[in-house]
Amino acid sequence: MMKSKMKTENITNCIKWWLIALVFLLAPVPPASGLVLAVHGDLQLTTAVMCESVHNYAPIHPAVVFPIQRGRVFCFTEFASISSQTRVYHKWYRDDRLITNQRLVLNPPRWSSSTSVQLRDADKGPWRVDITDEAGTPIYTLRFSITD
Amino acid sequence: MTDFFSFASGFRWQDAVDILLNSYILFRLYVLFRGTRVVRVIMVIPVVWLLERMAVYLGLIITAWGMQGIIAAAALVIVIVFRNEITSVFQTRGLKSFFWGIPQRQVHTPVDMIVESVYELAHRRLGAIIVLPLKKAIDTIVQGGVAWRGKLSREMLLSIFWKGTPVHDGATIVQGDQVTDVAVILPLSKREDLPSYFGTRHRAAVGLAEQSDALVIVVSEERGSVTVFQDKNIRPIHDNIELGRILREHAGAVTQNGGLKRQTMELALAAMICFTSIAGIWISFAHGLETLISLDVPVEFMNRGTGMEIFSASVSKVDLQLSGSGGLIRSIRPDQVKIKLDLSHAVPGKNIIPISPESITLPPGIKFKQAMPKVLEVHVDKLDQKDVGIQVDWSGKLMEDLIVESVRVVPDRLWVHGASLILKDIETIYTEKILLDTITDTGKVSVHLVLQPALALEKDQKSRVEVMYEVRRR
Repeated sequence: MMKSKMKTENITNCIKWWLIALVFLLAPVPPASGLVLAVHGDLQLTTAVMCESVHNYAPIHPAVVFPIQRGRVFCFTEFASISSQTRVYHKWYRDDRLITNQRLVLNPPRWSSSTSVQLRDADKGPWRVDITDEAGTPIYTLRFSITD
Repeated sequence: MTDFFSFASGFRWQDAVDILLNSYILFRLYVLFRGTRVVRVIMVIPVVWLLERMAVYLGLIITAWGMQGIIAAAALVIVIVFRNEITSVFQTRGLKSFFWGIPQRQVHTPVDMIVESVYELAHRRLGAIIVLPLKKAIDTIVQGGVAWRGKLSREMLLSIFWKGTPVHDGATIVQGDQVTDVAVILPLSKREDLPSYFGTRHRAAVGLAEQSDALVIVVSEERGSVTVFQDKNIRPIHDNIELGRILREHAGAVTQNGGLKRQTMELALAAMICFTSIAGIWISFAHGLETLISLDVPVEFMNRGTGMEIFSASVSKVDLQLSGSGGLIRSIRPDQVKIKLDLSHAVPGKNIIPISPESITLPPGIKFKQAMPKVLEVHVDKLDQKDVGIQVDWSGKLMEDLIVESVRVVPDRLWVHGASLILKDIETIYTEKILLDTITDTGKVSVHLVLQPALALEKDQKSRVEVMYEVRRR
C-alpha cells in the first residue's frame, strides 16, 4: 500500500517536471540583455546602436556623434525570436537622402549583424539608419552625426 | 485700298452697335431741342473744336488753350444759360418722346376756335389778352393768376373776358386745347418806342413777348383791334385769315405738303449729320494712329481645385504689349487689363501654363500683341501634414577622449504642415546646430528647430526642443 502510494507520487512529480521542462522548451528565447527595442511580427530587435567598430559580435564604443577621422561607422543590430531565415535592411540616409541600402540575412533563433559605411569629407552632417523588413516597413531608426 | 480692307476686317458688330446707338441718342437730343436756342449754341461747339484743331496745327498755343477751355466749359455754360429751355423741354416732353416720335409743336391748338373767339371779342369791344406759350416756361416770368384747366371753347373765352367777371382783368394762358390759367399778371415792358395809344394791356403783352417765346394776342377794348406780339415784333392783324396763319405757324402745324417735306428733309439731314459725327469720332478713337503700349499686368489665378494651394509662380506680373489708337491707349485704366489663368487642369507639382489671348481681358478696341514671358510656371500642391522625427544637428569637434554615447530629444517627433510633394521627401526636422567644442560632460540644452519656408508646425506646437545628451570618457 505504502509502495503503491510512493509510486503514484513519483509519476505525478515526473509529469510535473516534464511539464515544467516543456514550458521552458516551448517558451520564446528571451534576449540576452532582457530589453526589446522593437517588435515586428515574431521578430524582436534587442540591440540597435551606431558604433565605432564591431568586435566578437559586440559593438565597440556606441555613440551618436562620430568624428570624420574615424573613417568608418557601423550600425550594429541584434534580433531574437527569429522563427525562420529572415531578411532585413539597413538603409543609410544622409540629410534624408538614401546613401546605401544593405541587406542582412537573419537565421533562427538569434542573430546579430552589422553594416558600415566608409566616411569621406563630404559625409559630415546628420545621418540616420532605418532598419526595415523586406517590404520596407520601418522597424527602428537610429540617428547620428558625422562631425569634424 | 489695302488700308480700307484692313479697316473693314477689324470692324466688329459691337462697333456698329456703338456708332448706331450714339448716333440715335444724338439725333433724339436734336429732335427734343430743335427750334430752341440750345441747338444753335451747341452747333457752335464743333466749330470751336475745328478752330482749336487748326490752332494746334498752326502752333498757336494760347489760342488752342483758350479753345480747349471754351469746349471744356461749354457743357456747364449751356446748362446754366439755357436752364429754362432745358427744363421746359423735359417738362413738356415725356420719357417716351426722348426715345421715339417726332414731337409736333402744339398741333392740337384749336386755331380756328381761337380766331373766331378773338374776332367775337373784338366785335363786342371786350378787351382781352391771350397768351400762347411755346417751349420756354413762363411760370417764372408771370405772376398771380387763377388755375383754370378748362377745355377751350368760344363761349369760355367770351365768358372769361366779359366785363364784370372777377377774372376778366388779366391774361389768359392757353396751352393746346386747354385754358390753363386766367387773370394772370404779365411783366410790363419798359420800351419807350411803343405807340402812345398802347395801354397797360398792350405794354404787358410786349413785356411777356420780350422775355419769352410765347405769342400774345391783344384785343383792344377801345378800338376793337387785334394785335399779335411775338419776340420784339408787334403785328396789327387786319383779318381773321392772317391771325389764323400766324397762330398755325406758331403752333408748328404742318399744313402743306411742302412743309412736311421740308421737315422730313431737315430730320434726315440731322440724322445724317449725327451719324457722320459719331462715326467720325469713333474712327478717330478706334482707328486713329496705331500706338503700342507695354503694361505690367498682375496675374490672377482662377478655378483652383479644392484643397489646392499655389506655392509659387515663376512671375507675378506679365509684360503685355498692346496696340490701339492713341486715344484708346491713353484711356486704359489698370483695372481694365487682366490676365486670368485657368488652374482647373492643374496637377500637384509644376504646371506650365501658357498666356493665351483668351486668358487676357482687354477694353474694347485694344488689341493684344504679345506677352513676356509667354508661359508661367506655377507650382500647385495640396496642403498635407506629416509626422516627422526630430534629429540633433551636431557640429564642431568633440574632445578626442569623449564620446557622446546617447541623446534624447523631447519631443522626438512632430506634426508638420506643408505641400504634399515637399512633405513626401521629408522624414526629419533638424535642430539648429549644437557645438561640440564646448561639451565636456553630460548635459541638457534647449534649441530651435530649423524648418523649410514652405513648412509650418501645428499652431500650439513650440519650435524649441529639449536635447539631453550623455557623455563619457573612452
